[in-house]
Amino acid sequence: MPIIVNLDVMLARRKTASKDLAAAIGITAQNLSILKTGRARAIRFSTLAAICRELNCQPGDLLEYVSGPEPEAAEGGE
Amino acid sequence: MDKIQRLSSRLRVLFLAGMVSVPVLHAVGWAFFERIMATPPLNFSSIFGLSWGEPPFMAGPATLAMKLLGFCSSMLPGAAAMYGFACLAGLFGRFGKGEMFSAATVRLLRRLGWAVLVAQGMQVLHGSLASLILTMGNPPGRHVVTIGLDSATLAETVTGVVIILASWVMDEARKLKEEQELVI
Repeated sequence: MPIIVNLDVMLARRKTASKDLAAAIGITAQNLSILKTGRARAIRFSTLAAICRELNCQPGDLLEYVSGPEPEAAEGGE
Repeated sequence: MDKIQRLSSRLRVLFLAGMVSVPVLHAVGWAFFERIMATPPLNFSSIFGLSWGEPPFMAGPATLAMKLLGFCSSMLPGAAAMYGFACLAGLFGRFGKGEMFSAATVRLLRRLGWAVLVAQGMQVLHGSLASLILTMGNPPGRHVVTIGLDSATLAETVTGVVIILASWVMDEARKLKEEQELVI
């Protein structure tokens, strides 16, 4: 996946624990872990907005594009 | 969901009972072959492989060897039926635990479809074997081998194909569910 999620970096910068963020934005720690480890296929705008609100950052601080193999067509996602 | 889980747990027990009853029913059927064939309401012709419900001409009563061979022959489709019941019990056991669209449920449904198909093929084979076994005591020239397909066999073959097709659809649903689980 050429999209890298830099959530762990932003969590470290803000000195916020994963479980605190998960509780604050209303998702499970397990789902936040999927997001942090880059296993997520897609992220809802509402989730992204909540993370940006809680960590006081921009979507670009969380997501990064690096050139690499493209995922298969019609793999889904938002 | 609760309703599905509750009903599934009960059905699982029913299918397990069905699985156990198959060999018992076949054994009882062959043990009392003459009596059952002479009692029309109890005519388990499918167990005996007799599509038309009438046994072929037999020169004498069925011997113990005939009954044992007949039982072994009838357990060809019977074993497939037992496997089908085991698949159903496994499937509804998982439904009972709330596991609807998983790789395991898809696999069980697909195996059920194949079990239904194999059972029909075995039923045709058993029909021929049973006619041969029941007339093995006849004088030379009076042995009979029958082969036949009836509407029930064809209908159940179609059912097997439909179940396999449904398992493919279920597999697509499983992929969608797994995809959905990775949307955060």
